[in-house]
Amino acid sequence: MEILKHLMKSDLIMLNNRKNNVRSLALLMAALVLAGTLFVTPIVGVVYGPLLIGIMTVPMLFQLQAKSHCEPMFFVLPVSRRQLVQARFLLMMLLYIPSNLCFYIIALLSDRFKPYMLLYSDEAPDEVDVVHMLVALLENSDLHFTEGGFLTLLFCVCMTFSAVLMSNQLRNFFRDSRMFEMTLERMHSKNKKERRKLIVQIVLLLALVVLIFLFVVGVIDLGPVGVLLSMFIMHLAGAADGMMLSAVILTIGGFECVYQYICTQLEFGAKEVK
Amino acid sequence: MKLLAKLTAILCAGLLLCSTLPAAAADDTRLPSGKTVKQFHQELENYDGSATYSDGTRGYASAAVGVFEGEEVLYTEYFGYTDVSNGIAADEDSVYEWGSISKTLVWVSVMQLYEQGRIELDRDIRDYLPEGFLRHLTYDDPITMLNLMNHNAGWQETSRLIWESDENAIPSLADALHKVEPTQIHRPGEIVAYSNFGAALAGYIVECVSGEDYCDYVHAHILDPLGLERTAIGPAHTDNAWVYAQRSRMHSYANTTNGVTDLGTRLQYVACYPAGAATGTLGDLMTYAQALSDPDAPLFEHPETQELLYTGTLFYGGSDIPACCHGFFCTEYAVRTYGHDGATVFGQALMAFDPHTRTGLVVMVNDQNGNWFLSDAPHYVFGELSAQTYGKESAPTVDLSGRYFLPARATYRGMLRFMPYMEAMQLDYEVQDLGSGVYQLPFSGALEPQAALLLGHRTGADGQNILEQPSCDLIEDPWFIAKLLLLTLYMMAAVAGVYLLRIRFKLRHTVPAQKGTALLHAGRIARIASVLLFLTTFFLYCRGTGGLTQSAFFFIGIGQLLCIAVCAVTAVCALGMLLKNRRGRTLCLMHSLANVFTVAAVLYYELYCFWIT
Repeated sequence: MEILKHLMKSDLIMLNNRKNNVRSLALLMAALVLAGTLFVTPIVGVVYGPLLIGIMTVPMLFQLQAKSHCEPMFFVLPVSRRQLVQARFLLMMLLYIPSNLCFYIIALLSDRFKPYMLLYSDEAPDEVDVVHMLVALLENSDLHFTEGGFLTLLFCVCMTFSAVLMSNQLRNFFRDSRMFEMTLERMHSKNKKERRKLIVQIVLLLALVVLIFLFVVGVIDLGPVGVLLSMFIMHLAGAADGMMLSAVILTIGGFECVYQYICTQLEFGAKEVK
Repeated sequence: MKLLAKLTAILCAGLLLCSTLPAAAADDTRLPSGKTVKQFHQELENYDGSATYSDGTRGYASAAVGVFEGEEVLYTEYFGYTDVSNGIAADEDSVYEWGSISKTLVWVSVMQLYEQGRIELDRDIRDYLPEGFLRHLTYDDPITMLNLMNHNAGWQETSRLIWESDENAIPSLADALHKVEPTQIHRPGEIVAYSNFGAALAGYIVECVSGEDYCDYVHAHILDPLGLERTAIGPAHTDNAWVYAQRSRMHSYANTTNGVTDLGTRLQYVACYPAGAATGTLGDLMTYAQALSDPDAPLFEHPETQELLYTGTLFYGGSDIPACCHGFFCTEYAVRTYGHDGATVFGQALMAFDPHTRTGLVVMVNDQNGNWFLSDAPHYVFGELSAQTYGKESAPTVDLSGRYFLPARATYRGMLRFMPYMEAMQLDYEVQDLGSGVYQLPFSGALEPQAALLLGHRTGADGQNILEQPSCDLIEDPWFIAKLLLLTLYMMAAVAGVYLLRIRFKLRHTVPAQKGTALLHAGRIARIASVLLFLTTFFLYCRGTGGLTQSAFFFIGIGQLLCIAVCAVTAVCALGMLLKNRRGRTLCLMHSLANVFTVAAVLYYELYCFWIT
């Protein structure tokens, strides 16, 4: 356990240096999400919070190591590959879970006290309270949610999705940190073609998320089959204010992370260091 | 000549004025809500305008609306399209399905036979049925016609398919009733749970007592005397050729947030047709409603029979506020209305009237769900119940929030036993206790700033809290979360099984399989198969055809039995491995627990009981 603690500490130290201080970037992102949650809608906290953390955590944690080719350094230290993988997955979870829980609690408080209504005192509440509008929209489909239940279900879906994304990124990092570095290089690359390619990938991913969301709330119509499928999913979602589906989705997320961890252990353990 | 021209002009003007007077008078007629007919029309027009979006899509398909007062028709209007894509507008020839409004034909028929002394309302219905007709009764207590009218005979919701898609394969009424007969789960008179089976059975009793086919009886004693030539009540509408032809041209639509989705003609047939097969025009339904509110009672030999029809048979709590009157449901607006609404896979309809003012409203739509005309038009005709009508300032409040209530109209035995738990309602409000078992839920209405909704409450035979609505009780389940947790653990155990198989496959080269691993895999596969079968049951039910086929039940039930047998065996073997081996103890324990949850869930929710309807 001591070795794991030291490994996690070393990763955190490497996070911040004179040239690549990610702390300020992380604080800026957290402030933006917080402001959105409190002054726009609580949905920002339960959707964008987990998604941003999921997408950005691994690149931010390991970008310096990838750039500086630090991987061989760990092989001369008295740590096993197994311990290295354990430490990094543990660090990722220790950063991921508490930060998401903070956003979730703040989102629930924001929904309870509605500070965003202060900014729109002249508008009718029904036109400003997005959560209330979405819950009312779902009521038309005979799906009954409380606002808290709806936010919880959204949070569980987004947290699971981003946890899977994050564990996959970490697995890719261990598999080939140079490819990971190339991805980061592409982000900073002056080559327009590379940057355009990366931007297109990010836009496509965001579009997919928006598409799924629009389908779920019924804006996109997939015909009778879509109506049936959405009714089926909504019935599952509606049981006990979304509790049942939330539990199942979190289970999927948890097991997927465990699976990625085991795959990483196997692949990194067998990897030849060049 | 000039004088003659002047006189002619005056005469013409007079004629013109006279012809517009009735229309103007009708426009100014005040409805029980306080609104005039003109204002009512404006509200409907405003909604229709707002429901057509800038890109041409519509928020609803069509609605036919009629308002009458006595013999006078105050208002009829047809909105929208019966076939949106081909632009066929709704009009007086459009036919809509009555849905459960058809049941009022049963109750009127029963009261006609009661009037003739051929039926007693408080006699055991088994005296009118062939010997041994009812095969799934649990209690020996007599079931009366009043139990059928009040929907408290004790039957659960049937889990068998109630819709037929082939008009040539519709069984006889008796055979259809046998096919869908549900299990009786409550003692008669205890719990109100809306029952299509009960109403259809009452129709069959009309057949047995009158000696006539039910369809023929209704035509001879209700439709023909009222001149309802554009209504069919047979299951395939074949008893009226014109309706049959018109119905095949009507389209049904599903309302989504993005507009309406065309579901085609949705020609599905109710084999237990007295419960919901009537189909006809707005004009015919309005004529029927007018007859029901006519003090001369044209449907009965004596007006006293109609008066008896509108006396309460079911009340809110212990009060004298009626919830149901011989099968007609009472709704408290600014006035009390009697009537019924209806819904089929095709569309929905509403019939409500106040026999005292003789004002009535009929709405018919071809939307499968939603539709503002159904939910809001009644308020603009009949007003809203004021919180001051029954309420008192000093009434104590009862907090219902955080409590889970399950609908009585559900399947509590058999493979669909999980459904009420999926449909449970968590109430999120406070109500006023008005005493005598009546609750009042205040809300801010569109017309009445302090409007209210009534609920009854009582304690059931098993000590459970029950909220009463006219057609369906809501039963509180204090163990709801625990029961749903079992279902959740059942699903989580399957998810764990999927991933453990995946992980084992990944580790197949690096970690050799221990003795007994194959058995553990069999248990995991059984868990996954069991949940897939459960989801299949749920998915088939969600198709909206009112149940599953016998064969679907059989195969799914047998599948579940096999799965729990494998789970039980592997759970025991895993325990054995746990005691023998030092390695992998945690995994064996988790495997046993997961299989125990699976077996417990399948047994508790009767997911294998394909023989229970």
